[in-house]
Amino acid sequence: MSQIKLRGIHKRYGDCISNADVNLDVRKGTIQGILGENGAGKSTAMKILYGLIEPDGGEIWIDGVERKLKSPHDAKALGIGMLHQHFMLSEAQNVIENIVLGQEPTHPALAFLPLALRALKLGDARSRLDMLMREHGLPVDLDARISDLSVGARQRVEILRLLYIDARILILDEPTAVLTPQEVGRFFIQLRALADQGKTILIVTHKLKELMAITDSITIFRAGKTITTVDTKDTDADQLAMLMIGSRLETVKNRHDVTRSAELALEIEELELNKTAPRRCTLNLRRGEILGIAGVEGNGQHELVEALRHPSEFLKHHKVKVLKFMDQDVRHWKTAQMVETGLGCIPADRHEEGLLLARNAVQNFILGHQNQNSFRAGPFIRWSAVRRATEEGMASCAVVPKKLDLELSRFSGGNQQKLIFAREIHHRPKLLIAFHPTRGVDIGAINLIHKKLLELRAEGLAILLISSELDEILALSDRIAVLENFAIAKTFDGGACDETALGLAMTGAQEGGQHGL
Amino acid sequence: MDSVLDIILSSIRMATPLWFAAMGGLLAERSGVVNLALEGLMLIGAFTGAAVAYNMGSPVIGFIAAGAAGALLAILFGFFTLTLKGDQVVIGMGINLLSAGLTPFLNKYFFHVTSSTPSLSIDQRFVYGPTLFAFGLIVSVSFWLRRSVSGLWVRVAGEHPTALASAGIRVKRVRWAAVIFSGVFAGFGGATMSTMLASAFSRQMTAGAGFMAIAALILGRWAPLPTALGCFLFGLTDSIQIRLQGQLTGADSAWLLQLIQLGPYIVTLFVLAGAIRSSSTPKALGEN
Repeated sequence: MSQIKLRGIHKRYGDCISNADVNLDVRKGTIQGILGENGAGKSTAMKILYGLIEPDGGEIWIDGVERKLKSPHDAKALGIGMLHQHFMLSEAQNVIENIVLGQEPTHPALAFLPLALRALKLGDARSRLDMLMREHGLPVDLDARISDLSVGARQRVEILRLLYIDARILILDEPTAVLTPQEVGRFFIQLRALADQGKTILIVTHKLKELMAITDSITIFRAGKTITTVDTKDTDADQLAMLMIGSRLETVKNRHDVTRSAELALEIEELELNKTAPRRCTLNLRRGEILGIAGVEGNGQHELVEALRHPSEFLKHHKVKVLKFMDQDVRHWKTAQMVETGLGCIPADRHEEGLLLARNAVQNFILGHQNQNSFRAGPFIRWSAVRRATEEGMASCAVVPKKLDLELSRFSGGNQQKLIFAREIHHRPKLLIAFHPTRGVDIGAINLIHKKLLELRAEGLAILLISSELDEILALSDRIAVLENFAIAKTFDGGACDETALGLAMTGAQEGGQHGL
Repeated sequence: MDSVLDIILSSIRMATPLWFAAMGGLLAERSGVVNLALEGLMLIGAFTGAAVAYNMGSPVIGFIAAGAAGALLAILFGFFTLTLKGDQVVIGMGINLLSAGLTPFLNKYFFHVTSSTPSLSIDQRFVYGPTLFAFGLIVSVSFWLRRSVSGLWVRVAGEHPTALASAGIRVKRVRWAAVIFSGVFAGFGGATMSTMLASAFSRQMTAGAGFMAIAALILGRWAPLPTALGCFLFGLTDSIQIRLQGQLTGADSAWLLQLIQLGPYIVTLFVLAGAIRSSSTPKALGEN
């Protein structure tokens, strides 16, 4: 019998249907994968199961009884716990305070008071957590501040919390997004052990390889519906990809058949990305080359991009020996000069830095390029030229719907990203920084962006590809540099490198680092 | 030696209203609500404290009434910021303006003058009661914040409210409670001014004390004991200023007098100028 049963769940926001018809059966003690593209409705379905969102209709059965889940409180009472994609940990508090939150142990002598007024008695929780940590192999320092913990340790805290509240059903939303390949391996061993002890685990992801490695069965979401559920042992990644997008996709891959020019587009020597880091960053990039920067987030990626986009600003507080762009010393250059000389940038967070969501496509297309001569007539903007450029850009990158006056918030994530991409390559840059170029976009858009990146490289564009998706880096890069603790730890040839080697280089300092438990 | 002790004792007296207000501000801000309304909350407390103490003949009743008045105004602040999700800074300033207008109006209504309430006799005033109470309050807040269940909730509400919500606790309720108590304490602070430091409420008598309490909060990095110490610093500047005033009497020193009176405000300015957003700032401060 299924422990979890969803029948005909549907949910809509205005005229946007998020869940059309979701049916799900999960057996106790199994690991079931939830697979789907961004926007396929898998997150919504999981939030419904955790009581964060109330469905418009449909049935939820837990342990053979139909339930109404109005809040996470109801879900927790039934033993459902959720590990969110973005950690739900308060950084200024310590580990144990975060774990007991919502289930605080108190002095029995104060039981006559309302819960809020009672004094905490963390000793009880401590002994129980010590036991859980030993039992499940999840070591964490209970008195450490969350802000001092590595990402892997934070994840262990989250899992420990689920165990502490005695969750029997664990919903994990993209749990591996922030882990190195080695951490993922350890994490999966722990998950399997939990399932063997009778916990039911739902794991949401878009990473096919991981699903194949860890799950017993996989449910595929497409356009708000559950398409089918397959047994993991009877399927393979190709079939899953096809089920997920509904058609077959050719894979884009760098065939390493383009001869790179010898001309350097970018030359960095001894760039200080962080004052406290022991080493500095040195790298160069030739025209017609894709240099992939791999690394765990927070190892200097943001600083590197800042240094290239705003050299004069960044170098006020950081040292550098050489910083050359197209053979010119750019140490004192401002952002506008960099852009005019041919720097394009796809920022890491398109909503934060790339777009104005409340503005239309044309207005967004001029952002950052307002000084381009073709867009200007003296002090005035030539909107007709901008419109024409926007139209061309949307056509070349297949942005849909092709409506110039539509507010950006009405485009899907993938189309927003394609518009940024179109904008940044429109003025034929010499160097393109692609910082998480395909984060949170659908497979179709990923494919298009990858294909375009390879085309542009063949035309002589230098591309700095910074991504946390190792697959992406491996598929596209001519060379791969591993950024670790604010310096390049190792450089590989794109054709002669695999995920394991990258992963090892990425964890270099973490093994010996102070919080790399 | 005598005068050093005198200055310290008088600094403690001057710091007392700030202690109340700063603890109130601490409660609200640690829960994630920017409370710039402290000034207005103190002012309504100052009026209510003096008016009720005069009418009932008891400073204690006046003091309690001041807390209740602060709570009422804080509920109005909470309604606009928490229920209607308005901008906390703008609404805080609005509450200050409201209080600045409301107190003379109430004064006119009850006592037929706008300038000040009738003078309190010696048995209608406090000698040092509120100061002892403030000491107790600082210690309790410090202990409560670290060691109690609701203290933990308040801290997380100000740092990572979604984490609190996902643990099944209603963030809004936690913030409501923090805001209301913030009003109560600020009201106490106001009453301390009008029934202990002075013997009547006078128009605009808080004169920026609410903002000094906020400055002390920033100086003390939102922790109770350092914040209390910050308040003491302002009390010290104030009592030195008063002492210097007493020693300057000549007509040519009028400008110097005025300059000296600026002392506490200049200190506030420097404290705030030096305060950058640090790691101890509650992360969710000011978010809705």
